[in-house]
Amino acid sequence: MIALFGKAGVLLGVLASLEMIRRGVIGFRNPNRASRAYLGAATAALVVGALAAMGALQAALLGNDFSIRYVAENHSRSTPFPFNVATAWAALEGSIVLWGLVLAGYAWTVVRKHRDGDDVGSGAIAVIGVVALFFFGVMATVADPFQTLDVVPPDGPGPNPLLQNHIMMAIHPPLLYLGFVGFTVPFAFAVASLAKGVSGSEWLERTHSWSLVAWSFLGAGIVIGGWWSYEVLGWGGFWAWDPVENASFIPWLTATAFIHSAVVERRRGVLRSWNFVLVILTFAMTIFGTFLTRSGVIGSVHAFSQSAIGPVLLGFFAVILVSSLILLGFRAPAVSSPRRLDTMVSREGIFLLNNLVLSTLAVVVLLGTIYPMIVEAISGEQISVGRPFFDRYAVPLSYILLAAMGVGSIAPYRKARPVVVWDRIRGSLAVAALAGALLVVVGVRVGHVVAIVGLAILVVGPVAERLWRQASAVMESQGRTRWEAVRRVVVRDPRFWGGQVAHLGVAILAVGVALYGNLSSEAMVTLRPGETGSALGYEITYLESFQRPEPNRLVTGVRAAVYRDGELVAVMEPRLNQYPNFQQAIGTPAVNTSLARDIYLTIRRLDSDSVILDVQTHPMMYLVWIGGILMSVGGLASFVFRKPERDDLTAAKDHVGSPT
Amino acid sequence: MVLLAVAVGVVTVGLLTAPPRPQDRTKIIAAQLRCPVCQSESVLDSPSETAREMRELIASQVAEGRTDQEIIDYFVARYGTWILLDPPPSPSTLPLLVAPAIVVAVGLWLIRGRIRPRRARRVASPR
Repeated sequence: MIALFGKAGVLLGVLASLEMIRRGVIGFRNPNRASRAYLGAATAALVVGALAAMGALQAALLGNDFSIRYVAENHSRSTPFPFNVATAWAALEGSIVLWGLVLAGYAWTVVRKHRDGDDVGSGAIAVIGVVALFFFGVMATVADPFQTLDVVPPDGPGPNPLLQNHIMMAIHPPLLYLGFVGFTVPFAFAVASLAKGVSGSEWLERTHSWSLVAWSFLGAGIVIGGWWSYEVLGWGGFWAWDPVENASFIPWLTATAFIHSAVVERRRGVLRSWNFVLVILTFAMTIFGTFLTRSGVIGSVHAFSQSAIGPVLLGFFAVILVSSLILLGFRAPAVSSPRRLDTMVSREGIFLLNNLVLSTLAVVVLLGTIYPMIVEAISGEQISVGRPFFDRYAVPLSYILLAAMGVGSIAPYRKARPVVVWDRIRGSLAVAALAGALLVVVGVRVGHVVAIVGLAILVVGPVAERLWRQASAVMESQGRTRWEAVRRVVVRDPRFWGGQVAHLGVAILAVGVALYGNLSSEAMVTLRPGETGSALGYEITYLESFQRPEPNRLVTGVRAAVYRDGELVAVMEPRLNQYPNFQQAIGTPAVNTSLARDIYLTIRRLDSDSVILDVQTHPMMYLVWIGGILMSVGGLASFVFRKPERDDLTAAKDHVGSPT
Repeated sequence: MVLLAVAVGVVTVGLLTAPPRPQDRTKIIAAQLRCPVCQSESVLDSPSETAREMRELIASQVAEGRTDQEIIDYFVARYGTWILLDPPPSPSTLPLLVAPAIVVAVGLWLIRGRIRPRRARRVASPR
């Protein structure tokens, strides 16, 4: 019964997508018919279909309907809340349903903003319809979430243990999908605008909000994924250059390049074709990323042909990429701008450098990820590409990016005379040098750490100085308090200052990563119950082992007291979780966070009479999470900074240009 | 200005005279080897039993006084070059190793096309 309802939802989704394409194309050709009501009806049907499909899946999971294959394979009666809800996107078929739902939601936001008679917007609805048709088509055929079983099992194995071990794994996929799918909107407007042969940057301006929202969610999803890896996987790291991670990182890189080069187009009217290229690549890479993670091709090249989903996703990726690039090729002469930059030594020149670095990094990550698969598919030879390869490029490129971020945010447009730039950064340079000296004096004599802290100050300092100065000017002329003045300055140019919040996040993140990479320590201790050992300057006492059954797992752990100089720091409980139906126990490290460092304890081996504990310390690990989240929030900050009050609006008019 | 120079001096001297950090050769080698039973973790990072045994093996070979290269060669002989996370240059990895340089070259060339040539600039702005 539920299965039937779900299938009906999928079918409605397919029909609605077809109708979106039909009506979108009609409105695209004849603007008189491109009304919101006309397009909205089809889009509303898509939303209903997607809600019905997701609703049916949730009802089946929460109602333990094991007659549905997806439920039987991925759910168990003992799966606790909220993991039973999250099981809906724990495996392939369900994740496509989530994709469809998120896409329908974005389509609805597009229709709500639609103005009657807008042909390009109508075309964008048609493009979104094509993407929706693909995903609902996949649900109806090769990845049917509502396939039923003839023999109904009494219970199922539950989701992959790694996915039900931590709450962050329940929210990581939806965040990531809100990011991935969001890029459909700028892509759709870009394609519609190309098809119409419209020159100008209208599509960029119109889709600005969606690009930023998608970018923010994608970044937040990646950061939460890294955090989950740190809290759950027990190796003490957050980024492994794993193909699954890279699959989400590549579109993030191209999207980051896109939101920066879009600024250049808006301000200076150049890079028009390049922005089309970037938005097409970003959208294509979200599809490619889904292919990488969902086709099984990572585990083995040969898994590719075992399910139809791999070839279907790869085919869709190829069609999207080739057809939109061909369209761009035809229209490029019409849409590209003849204008040129005056000189590289200008803000827009630094934006170009940023784009070069981000694109290079995207290519490196993409290549490093797929190269082993390609080689194995062609010659059968097996090679590995891992951290040493990726780091070799990522580290120096990150240095360039940070430097560009610091100078770029305060360099004038058109032509940045070195004297002006020097004047704006020298204060921060002095602070950076002093901070470096201070670090060296207190004994942090690691080049990378000193350099990154210095660069981080260079990223934040000049901009903070500018904010202070502009606020002072407002205080003088309008007699406001400092806080009010700062608010006024920010509200005048919310996009710039939102971007600076993101930059602040990047600076904090960079310092966190540098500390993690250079000043973390690790040691192993073997302890008998009651015994005390020392590691990394701590004394660790193995108090006892414990075992407690939970509904969905058996938890085994040790209780260990950690002392420093005879004083108790914490009692920590690293655990091993044994899930029924899965052989390998999943470790859960115990993490003790303080202002100075994380103490990270993992059970490496637990016998009846001894335990091997892996002890790690990571200095100021929280900088990574705070920086990462702040970076993502920065994308949304420009929306918060907006909405000036009435008198602010008048003030903004008087203001002579925003920071240049 | 003087302050800046002094601070830079302190940093330079401090970093240059920093005592070499204790190098844990076992960790350095383990970071370059792929854990054979994992997806993409190194022997250093992986919490798996196999990786633990391999770390012990590396540690014992380090203790025997073998060089890094000898230890790495030992694992390559057992597992093939697949065990190396940084693929060594070979005909089949050549495209991977040269591609980033090509991307940068093409990118720089494209950027050059976006910049007004020096002479045109002078003509355009007669100031």
